[in-house]
Amino acid sequence: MRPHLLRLLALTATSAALAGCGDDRPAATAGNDSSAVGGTLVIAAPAEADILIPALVNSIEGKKVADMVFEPLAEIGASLNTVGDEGFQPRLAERWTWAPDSQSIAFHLNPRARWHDGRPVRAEDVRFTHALYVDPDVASPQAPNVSDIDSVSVRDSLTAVFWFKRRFPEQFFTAVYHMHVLPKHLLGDTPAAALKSAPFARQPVGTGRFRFSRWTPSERLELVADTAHYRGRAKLDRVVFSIAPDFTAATTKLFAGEADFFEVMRPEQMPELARNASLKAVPYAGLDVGYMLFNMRDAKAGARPHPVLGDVAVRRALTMALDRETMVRSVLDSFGMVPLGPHVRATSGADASVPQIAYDPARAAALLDSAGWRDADGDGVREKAGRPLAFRLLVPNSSKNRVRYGVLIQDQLKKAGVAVTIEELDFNAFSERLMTRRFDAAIDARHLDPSPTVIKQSWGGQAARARESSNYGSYANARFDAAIDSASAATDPARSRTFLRQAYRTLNEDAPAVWLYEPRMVAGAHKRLQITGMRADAWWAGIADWTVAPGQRIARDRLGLASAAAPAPVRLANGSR
Amino acid sequence: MGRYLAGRVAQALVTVALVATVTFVLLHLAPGDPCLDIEGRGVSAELRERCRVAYGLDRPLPEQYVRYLAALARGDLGWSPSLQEPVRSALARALPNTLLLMGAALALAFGAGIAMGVAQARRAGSLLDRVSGSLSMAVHALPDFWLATILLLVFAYWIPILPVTGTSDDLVYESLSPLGKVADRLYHMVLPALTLALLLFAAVARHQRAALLEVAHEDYVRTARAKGLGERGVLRHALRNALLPVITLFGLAMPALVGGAVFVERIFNWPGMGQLAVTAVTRRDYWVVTACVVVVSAMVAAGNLLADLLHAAADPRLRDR
Amino acid sequence: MGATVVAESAGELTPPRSRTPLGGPAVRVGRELRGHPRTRVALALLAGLVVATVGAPLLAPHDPNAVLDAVALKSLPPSLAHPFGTDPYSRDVLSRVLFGGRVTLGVALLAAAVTMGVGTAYGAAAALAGPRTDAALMRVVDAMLSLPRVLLLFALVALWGQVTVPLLVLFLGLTSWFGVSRLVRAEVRALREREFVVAARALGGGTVAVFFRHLLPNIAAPLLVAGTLAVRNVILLEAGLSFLGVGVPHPLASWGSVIRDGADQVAVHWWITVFPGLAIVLTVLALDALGDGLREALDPRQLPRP
Repeated sequence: MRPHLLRLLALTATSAALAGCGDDRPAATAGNDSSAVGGTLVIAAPAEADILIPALVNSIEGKKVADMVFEPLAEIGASLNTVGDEGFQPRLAERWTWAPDSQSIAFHLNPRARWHDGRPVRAEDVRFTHALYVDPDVASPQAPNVSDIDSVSVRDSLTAVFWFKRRFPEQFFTAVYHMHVLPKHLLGDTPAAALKSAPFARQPVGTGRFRFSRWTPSERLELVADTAHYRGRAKLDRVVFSIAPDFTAATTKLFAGEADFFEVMRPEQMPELARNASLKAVPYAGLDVGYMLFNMRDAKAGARPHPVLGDVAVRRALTMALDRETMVRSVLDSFGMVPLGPHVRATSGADASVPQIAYDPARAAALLDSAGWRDADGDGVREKAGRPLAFRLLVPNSSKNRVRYGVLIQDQLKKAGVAVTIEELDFNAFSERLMTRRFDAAIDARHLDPSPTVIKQSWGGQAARARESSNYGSYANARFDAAIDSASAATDPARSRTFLRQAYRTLNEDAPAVWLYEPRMVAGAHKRLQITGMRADAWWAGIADWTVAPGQRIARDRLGLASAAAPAPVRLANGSR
Repeated sequence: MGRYLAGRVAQALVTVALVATVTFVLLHLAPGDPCLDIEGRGVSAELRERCRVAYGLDRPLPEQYVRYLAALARGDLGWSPSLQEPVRSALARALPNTLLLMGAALALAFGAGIAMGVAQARRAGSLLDRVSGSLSMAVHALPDFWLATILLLVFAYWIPILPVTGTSDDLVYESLSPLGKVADRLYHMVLPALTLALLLFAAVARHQRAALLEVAHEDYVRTARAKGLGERGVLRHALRNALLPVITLFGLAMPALVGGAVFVERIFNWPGMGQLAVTAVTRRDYWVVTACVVVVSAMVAAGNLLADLLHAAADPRLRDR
Repeated sequence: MGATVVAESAGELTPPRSRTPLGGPAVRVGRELRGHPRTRVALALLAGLVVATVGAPLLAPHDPNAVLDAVALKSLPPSLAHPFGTDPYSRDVLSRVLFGGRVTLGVALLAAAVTMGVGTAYGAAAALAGPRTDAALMRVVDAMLSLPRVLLLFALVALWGQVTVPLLVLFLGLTSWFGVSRLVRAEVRALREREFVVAARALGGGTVAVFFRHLLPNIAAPLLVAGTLAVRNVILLEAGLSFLGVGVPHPLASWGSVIRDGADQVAVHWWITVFPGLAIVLTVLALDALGDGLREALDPRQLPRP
């Protein structure tokens, strides 16, 4: 036999033998696992973190790490209430006091709070953090979100005071949600331009219950529990983000036993998940919504209204012609719902009483006829004054859901006499076309902010005019603006909801977009994990309290905290099956 | 020899410059830039403009081109906006992985391929020849990603004996002994290298067989036989010439291998240059794409040069140029 | 793309030999091809494929783009009603494979034609031009050959946004001609010193006329082989590109795009990937066998048959 073939066979045989050697059975005695502390969690990450400084992070993977290594002053509650301070949990601030005139809030820091390098957390750090977030040279993506904070002052070493430009219901939310406190003693001397390339950007030092351990780019990022944490150590010993190039590869890691958790299970994978003896499905709420956005303006000449989609009758007819229930069931199975508007049911402003446009192909046809769009030449496509009822639909190829929707929409609208051409672009080109408003329609999706009034950035009139924000379709309606502004200003949650309802109603009537899907999230996780505290805006919010059931430890859980203390060298097996 | 080498190096440099130019033109013609929204959370126009200025993207194209070439000539590969680190660090990570994979695949493919081709030629027309020939044709006809996907299915889902992702174990690699580390890496390399090697192996075997069969009828072989040299001796004579086309194949196999590696790296999550380049294209990370392309063409030029030198070493007629 | 570019470049490794023009031997070639069992099978297979794809409107049970029932008939495994199953949009995979064959084979043939045309012209021009022009022209070819083709195509298509089928043909064709140009250059260089060429030029024939009347017939044989290679390479490339997410626009079916539609669920919905994949493998195999047969048949110094 050829020597190289022989080598290959030997290697395969050895590997097979070693794989069988893995100690996968749960510990027979629960003796030394009596406390729920310990364990290793491997998360399959479908992308890589970019930078680990909270003020600069621009990727969701980076945000997860930043959330675990750093802390805000207070954490939003599970109900995602953003009005006042109800539901917020103390973090770096153990308590806070409102000034009688509500123009300022004083945060009293926990005196036992320490940075991972041992130094105590001071109010100076809070002031430094705010200054960093709003520094134009730093160019933090979060800067617009904290623009309503006028300044932060230091009353004493443990008290930082936030001053606001005006009174509004979401003051507290604005102060605490978007900023993680950063260490002045480590970053204070770094010039803004050098932040991105500073060592801190890839080896952060924070105050969270996890501390940063190491990062091998493209492969893994490891965090370990901060055992001396002032609020109690994280229950798990370590969390490893195992980085995959895309969703498919991440799913493979989970099913191959190389990871314990992956945040997105598709409906097609549920039977396999059920068959797998060591995995379970974990549903959780999400804040994503997908919709087909129409461009109100002509893609080629921005001042004119869109020749086809500028007419509200056409837009309403298109909405009526689409069977959204069927599409949701086809693309997402039981993992999605038709949204009620550009919001999700998990946020505090959601309202089921707002009237929706129902699926009614007959009415759609009648509406199009009366708007002057008829199929005169019998080619299956309606025309009006020589112009066919056709438009190009932009779809990013990075999202399977959106591609699926594109094909189904194309098919359904064909039956209504509308010719849709799908333009599938990569995400970068897709973003470019949206930002420059060069599109007819596009399937866009949003990961929403807990605050319901964030939709002003996507549908507000001012946003349409200033090409700053994300109102790519240039939708503008004064009634909507008034309703949203009143909702933001109302201090009473009930009144706020009334105004929100008006805003949603206006949107539904004008149909600037067709609300397509609101995914129900399901994660795949190893059965031994006891998962808690998953929040709609961040499923990882309670990760410091996840535990591994004592009697179900597997090989990777026994690695312990010190990486040098790994047991026997023959640990090449994947660890769990 | 020195002049020849110098000439070849000069040629290679011109090639690299051409390649860099083509890449520049392609990338800058495309819509989008590295400063756009990467996660779907919106990037304000102002931030985007700042980013563009910071990376010099607001300058006129000819100026950007000159700066770009000048930086390349200096060896300055730049900063990657998508990875937020110097391009040279990203390359320093990805290149060894790719070289490792390609080296293993080349060794496997050429070793097994040459051996198989010789065996087939020696028994030309026999059942073994025909069957193995058809099998290798069948393998050669498989699309790379298909083969990789099938192997993944088999070894991830049906017979889980090999790891299917990454270059090393996520958890224990750091704590393994040096021997353990090598073993772990080899273990992770089996599937991706096997996939890459299989396709190349079929081509090499076919080539070697054809080349040897052609040579078998040359006069010098008949002479050797007539002189009474044993089969081994005749084979050695024949092989020295029959190896030449296969050596040329080696030079040509480089870009093909890198191309195939794009699929294999993606499917098996092997963080090499293929994956780096594809991700960089989608993020419009001009600097990373350029660096990858330049490095690949340098590797190809080196491969070709090596093949030519081997040729010259094997065939004295080619030596004086 | 280990198999593709290697195969293509392999064509040019056979050194140019003296060759008698085609014409008389055409009959011999035909007999050779029919004689060898492997080539007979290949031809039969190809004929079958062509008939199946051309006759798709008659053979396919459903409209390939028809969404039959987006919920109930989505991603069904093979059955009597749907022998190849359905895809995630509840479209019949058998119909899509049949109609997809037209697109894939059509694109492959057209792109191969572009490749052969451009490559031949470029290679001949380089061979017949002065040494400096020749060197410059081939330097460009070297540069382009050192770019991994899949990456180049991926970049082109990804960056261009959505490509229409004609544009895809153009991209595929214009990125595959480099090896052909090398081959043609080598062949023409070997022939240009031959007496009949020198004579023709001396008699005042323009270069182009000389090329078409005297050179082309003599290089027709290796060109034909290179042609089959070009077609099979484009088929594999198109499939690979579709797998990476770029290729023919929705809802058009091609073998690559059918695979792409099911690529994210290969383990669960294997039929969406396996059947078009088999079609590709069979076609490529047949083309390879045909190419081998042609190479042997057209070579005047034949290898002894067993």
